Amino acid sequence: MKKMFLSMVCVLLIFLSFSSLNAAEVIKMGILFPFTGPLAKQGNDQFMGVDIAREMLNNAGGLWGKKIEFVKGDTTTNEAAVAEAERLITVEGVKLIIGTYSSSRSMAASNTTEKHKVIFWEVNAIADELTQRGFKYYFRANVKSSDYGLAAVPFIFEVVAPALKKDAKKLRIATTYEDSLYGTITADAFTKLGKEKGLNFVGEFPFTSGAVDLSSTIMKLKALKPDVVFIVPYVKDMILFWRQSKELNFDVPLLIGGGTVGESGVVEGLGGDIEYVCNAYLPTGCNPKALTPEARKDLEEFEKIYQKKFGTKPPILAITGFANTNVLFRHVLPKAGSLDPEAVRKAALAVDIPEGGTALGFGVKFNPPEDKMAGHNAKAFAIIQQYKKDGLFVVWPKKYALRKPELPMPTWDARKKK
Amino acid sequence: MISDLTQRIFHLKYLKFYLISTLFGLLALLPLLIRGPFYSHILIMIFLHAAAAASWNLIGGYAGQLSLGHAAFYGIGAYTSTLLFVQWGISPWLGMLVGGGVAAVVAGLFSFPCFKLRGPFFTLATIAFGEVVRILAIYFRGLTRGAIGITIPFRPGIENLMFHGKMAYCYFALVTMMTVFFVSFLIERSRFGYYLVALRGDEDAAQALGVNTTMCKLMAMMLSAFFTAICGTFAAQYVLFIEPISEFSIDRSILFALISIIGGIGTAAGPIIGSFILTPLQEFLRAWLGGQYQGLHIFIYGCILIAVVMLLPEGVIVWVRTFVKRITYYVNIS
Amino acid sequence: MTIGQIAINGLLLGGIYALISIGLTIIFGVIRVINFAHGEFLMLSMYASFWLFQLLGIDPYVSILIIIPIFFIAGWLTQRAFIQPILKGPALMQIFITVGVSLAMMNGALFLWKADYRSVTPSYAAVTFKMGDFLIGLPRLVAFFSSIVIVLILYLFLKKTHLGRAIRAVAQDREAALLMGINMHRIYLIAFGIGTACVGVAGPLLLPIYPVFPTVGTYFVLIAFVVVVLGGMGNMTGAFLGGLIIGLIEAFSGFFITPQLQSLVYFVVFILLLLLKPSGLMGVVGAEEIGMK
Repeated sequence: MKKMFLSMVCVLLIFLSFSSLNAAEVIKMGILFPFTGPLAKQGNDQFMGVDIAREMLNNAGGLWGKKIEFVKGDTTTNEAAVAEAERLITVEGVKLIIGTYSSSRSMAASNTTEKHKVIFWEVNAIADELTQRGFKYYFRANVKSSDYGLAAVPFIFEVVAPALKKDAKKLRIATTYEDSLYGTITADAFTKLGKEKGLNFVGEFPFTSGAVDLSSTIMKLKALKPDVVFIVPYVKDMILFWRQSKELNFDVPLLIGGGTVGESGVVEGLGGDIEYVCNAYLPTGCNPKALTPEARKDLEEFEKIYQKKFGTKPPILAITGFANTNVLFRHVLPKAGSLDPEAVRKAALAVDIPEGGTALGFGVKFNPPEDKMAGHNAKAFAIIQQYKKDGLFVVWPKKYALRKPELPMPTWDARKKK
Repeated sequence: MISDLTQRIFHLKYLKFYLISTLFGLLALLPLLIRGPFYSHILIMIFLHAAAAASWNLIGGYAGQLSLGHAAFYGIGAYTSTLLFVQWGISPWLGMLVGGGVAAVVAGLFSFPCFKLRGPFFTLATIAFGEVVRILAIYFRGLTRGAIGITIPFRPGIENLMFHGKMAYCYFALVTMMTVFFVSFLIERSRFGYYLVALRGDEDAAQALGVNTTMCKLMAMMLSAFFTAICGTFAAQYVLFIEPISEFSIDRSILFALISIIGGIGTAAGPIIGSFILTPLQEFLRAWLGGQYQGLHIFIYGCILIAVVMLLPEGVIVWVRTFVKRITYYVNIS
Repeated sequence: MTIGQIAINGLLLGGIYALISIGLTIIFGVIRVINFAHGEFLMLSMYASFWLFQLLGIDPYVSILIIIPIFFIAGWLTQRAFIQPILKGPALMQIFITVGVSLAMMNGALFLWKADYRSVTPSYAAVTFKMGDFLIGLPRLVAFFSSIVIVLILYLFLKKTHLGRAIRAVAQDREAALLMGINMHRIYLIAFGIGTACVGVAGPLLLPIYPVFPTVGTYFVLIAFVVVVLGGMGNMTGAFLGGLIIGLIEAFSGFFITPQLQSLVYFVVFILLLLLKPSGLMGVVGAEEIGMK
């Protein structure tokens, strides 16, 4: 009886997964994000931004007179990413997939899309390796992991050293990072670049994400008395790290994050204590004057729609998802004329948007297939943000800055007095 | 005379043989019948999970030692063959055997002192073991590239165990599954198998009768680790990307045990049945609901799991056996 | 002094571990089931405390009073609905039902409340005491003392009351307890209820320290098992001491070896413990064998 029921359910599911809606009126695109599992929050946050890009496009008339519809795939694990990519391409028939927040998922899923010659539009994953595989149909509009280091290092030279009244090369720099793919490559890239420029690294402390206690890491950092700590955690680790730093009275003149420190959840978890912490990230929240009028308009509309839907300002991941998807929708697809992967490829490679031309603030120019970093947006760059009392703002470089950097960070005692 | 011949051929005692051969024939045809890369992918996953679960079954089912650390062997297989291939260009065919060997040795060394642990204590030790291997794999970055993982360059060709399209993978997975099935089948009917049944039922009594229970458990464990590692190699050659957090995850260990248990633990066909039920269930639930409602598909999967465990504590194979018995009975009457 | 601070960090962490493990040691000690859903009960109690705070303004520490009876009943029902029916079956089935329950709870929470990190920030959450050179956070201190209080209460319950003695009897020797006329199923129900109520208390105590999200339980559950075995199954004081020891091991190995390997050290300790003294620090020798068949 049970077996019959189970097999009926299976048949029903097969049937349902076959059913697709009225294909004539809509254009289907695939979506791959982790909606469940340890990256569920981030996957969902980012997808919200991507979805609004679709909404905005549909409101403006869609593409070639048709509305865009998303077919979603849940990349809980790497194997699920492969399966979902297969399903979206071969069962749902999509020619283009947007995804995936996570470098691991992107790596796994794009092996499949490249085989099928389907366009993979990566809006967030930063692993350098993703665009070092010589893939022809993989495009990443976003920064790569080394870009955070490329922003942090000159920031240290130009702003931090003078603020701390020390010679940059004499500053004591330590890194701490969660030991999965994301944390490791971001911290590695920063360390490599820093060492090339002559910075003095006094220690590196990987920890396991989700660790229930980070006191040993903090105690070790405390013992080293660093001037700068570069941290690459996931949000839950950041909350624990900074809370425990407060408990253990770990003072550091500059705590600078490698991306995720800007994600939503950090402020909710840490409240006012997050003030003065810096973060290397894409130019979200940058000075609107640095954007072209068109980009500015798009960004404002996006924020309006997000606010109306969810009642809050959009989190950084949503902005990233939106802006990088918008590049596809505004600049690439109209030029391509259809979803045919060859046409989209050509259009993408022909794109050349100047700095300030996207909602994120950077320009877009994809490296050609012969390049070592084929498919990567060569014009993407990172900036430095700092948490102020009223939000996270770009503080460097000056061109994009909305506020001035305030360094060194006050000590915990000084914070308590405020 | 013809009816005489017919009577002989269709004799009852060959019925089981006919049923089983038909089933095998169907299985062999499945990769050809299933069309569409997504469905072929699911079939590959079914075969792969069945093979891994059947390997687990050698120690978990036949020997009754519930291990929840088998992902360690799976990962050892994946990493050994991948490192040999990526660093020195050694064919995964050879790498697979080396990986299996390494896993077997590691399994032997670790489990030997642990065999004196009974019941849940053995299980807890294997869980800890699995975690230790995972942490070490991340820590020794020089050896394993750590959390960054390893991408396997796609160079199709049978010598590299990489293929265009899904069909070849399907058949390879099928062959692996059938191999472990036959190994289980042979063990069942061997003296070794009887020893295992004895020690599973009552270890002290078996020992009293002169069965070297430790050696038996050791053999079963090493065999189990060997085949699990081979499954790991195959998976690596298929997904083309490995990282410690996926290969060594405890969820994977639980899955291997779960498939065998749902299908029928300690039987040769159990893992296969279990995989044909659980793998498509997981995939289709995710395909149907995964995009729409966060978490709902795994929630339903969990509920179904609870239901199946409660309704069929001995596994689905109990039904299959009853079914076969009924057919045999009816044929007998007619 | 650094070593002193590390020791304090370890003890405070150990208090948290003890808090989570007390419930598990009762369940594991009496019913002998590896309850994979234990971490999820912790997650649910953290969510319960969060929603009580968010929607009704009830302070987490106060919410404990509401949560205890709710979770006792939840534990009772879980045992009755899921575990009791298959107690006669193979032991593995009991484990896998808890796996199913764990998956359902985790993803049910994800479905209902999304994956956002929820925190509470009551005024006392950031208070830190300074004793000489040493720094101690208030929520951690409260958690530490709470675990002592719980251990004391349960200890008295188990030692002095008739029901408590019956529970201990079942934990020590199942067959003998049956022969003594103890109603096994009732004891199991009560034990699971008490165990779940204990982890229900842990939730609100942890909420000022950790944010809650659907998978938060998975980070604690394995540690809880290590602590339970270390302390001796079914032994409350053992769970407390075991928690402290693991906390200290983690803090010291994290500092002197490397934070990346701090879990590895206690897993290795765990394996050695299983091999050398499976009854744990304070368990009755041989108790781990009895009731296996």
